[in-house]
Amino acid sequence: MAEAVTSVAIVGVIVVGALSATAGVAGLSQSASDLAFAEQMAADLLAEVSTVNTQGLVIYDEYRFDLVDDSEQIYSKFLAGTRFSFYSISQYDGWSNSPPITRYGDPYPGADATWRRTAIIQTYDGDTLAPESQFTAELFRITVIVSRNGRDLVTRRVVRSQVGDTLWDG
Amino acid sequence: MGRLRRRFARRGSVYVLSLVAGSAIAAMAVGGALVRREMAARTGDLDDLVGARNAARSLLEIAVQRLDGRTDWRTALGTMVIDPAFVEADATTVRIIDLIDGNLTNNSTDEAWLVCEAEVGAVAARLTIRLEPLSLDRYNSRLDTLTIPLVHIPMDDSSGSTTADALEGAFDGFYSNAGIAEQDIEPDGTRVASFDSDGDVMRRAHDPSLETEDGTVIIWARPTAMPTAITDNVVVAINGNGMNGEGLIIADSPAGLNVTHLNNAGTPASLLNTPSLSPGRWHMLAYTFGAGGATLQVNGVQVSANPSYTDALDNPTVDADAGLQVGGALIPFVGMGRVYRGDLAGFSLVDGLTNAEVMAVYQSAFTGPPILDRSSLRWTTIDP
Repeated sequence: MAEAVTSVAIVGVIVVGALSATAGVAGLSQSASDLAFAEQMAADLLAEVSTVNTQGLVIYDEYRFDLVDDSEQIYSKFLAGTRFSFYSISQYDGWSNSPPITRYGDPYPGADATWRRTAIIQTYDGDTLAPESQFTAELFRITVIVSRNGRDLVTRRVVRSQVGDTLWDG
Repeated sequence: MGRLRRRFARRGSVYVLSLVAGSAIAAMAVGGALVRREMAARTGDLDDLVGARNAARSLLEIAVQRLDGRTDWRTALGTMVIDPAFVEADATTVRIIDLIDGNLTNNSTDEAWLVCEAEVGAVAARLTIRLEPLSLDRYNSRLDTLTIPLVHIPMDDSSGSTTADALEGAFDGFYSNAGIAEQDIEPDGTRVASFDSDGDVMRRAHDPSLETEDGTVIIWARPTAMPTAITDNVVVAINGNGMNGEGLIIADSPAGLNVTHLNNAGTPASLLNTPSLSPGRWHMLAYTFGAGGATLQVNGVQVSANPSYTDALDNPTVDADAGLQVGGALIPFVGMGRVYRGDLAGFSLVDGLTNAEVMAVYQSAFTGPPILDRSSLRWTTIDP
């Protein structure tokens, strides 16, 4: 009898240990998956902002060219309050939405309402790197934060310059 | 006694079982920890890699902003200090390197590279871009301030048209093959005529502006390949039909760069040999003729001269088909054909220049801020 009880206890400990270890690894996998997805969304928004001119006009936008003859569709996109109408980097400052959407207002594939993307633009002088008004700044630091359930998972930053407007087009 | 032995045997089994179970749990715990550590390390490496690449790109942006408009960039900006904290890196390096001889200040025409490196954690990323000092656009725009051209044809038609007369506005003539409508766009935005097939030739009928006693013919040439025969690479010909009267043919050949200057009888009066042009690189060819003798300069440096050749270019046989020809000779002379393969730009005929003046004209294409050659942008991940 004592041996049977001991064996059950040992088997129980083994099962609990195995489940705990499996759950830990599974949780880690989920966390890694979230991080990878957050990284992807951050890179996507960072790339989008980086292709926008610092001073005004959109440098290159194939989607706009596709829609150039469809004024009604363009108008509806403008009305939807998407980033479609953004023509300078500064307009991204403070942009934050959940669930994340693409530039053209479509839901970001795979991202539900637990996810949020935020962009922050800070402006600096090109020589001194001191903060500068957006109207006279030469450098624009783009910060993109991707969070899930209120927890920041990925924060990415890249600097864009006025001269860079001609560097990354087409 | 037997019962006692069986009891001990059962206890032994339990101990063995406990030992095995304990080992299994320990193995799982250790394995899980290893998996966690490995995944954390990979996540950390990825995090560092993305961070390093973003930082390197930020460095490039800051560097090109600081380079913008700086005509003294070779002497003033060889090394640029940018605070690593500003781009969220552990360490940063920004250099401008002359890959030809390692010296940025001894030759303004050497190509240079802007190299931006950022180190984050265990990862470092490098982003490089070529700084192209040559600007044909600058050359074309400054030529009038250095000398007064008798004829200046930038061959920089920005219409973007592919029709047969796309270059006519700049060339003031016509060309015989629609293939010339192909253009290459230089890093400075200059469009240059690209000659890539047999029969490509830009022609302009003879007119008095092409006649002068003392003159310098200038043209920029970038062949695509080494010439394989004397019939290759006729760069420019002025009244080069060779029938009668003075004329000129400049051609790249396997034996070197040839200048054939025809005298009043239409026979060769001068032949100057130099090394052939280097494929893929721009050269400014300048041939000076007249009473002072004949000289040939490549990139502002005299490579050949003969003071006894004093023929002018003011007594041509007027031939509507063979006035000025660029990129070939429509009517072959002494075995020379019409084929040129490569880019040509900035043709000029000016009053005779001294060697120093030719060098000044050449340098006009290199005086100014660097131009970013976007096609050269390269990423490298390096071990810090």
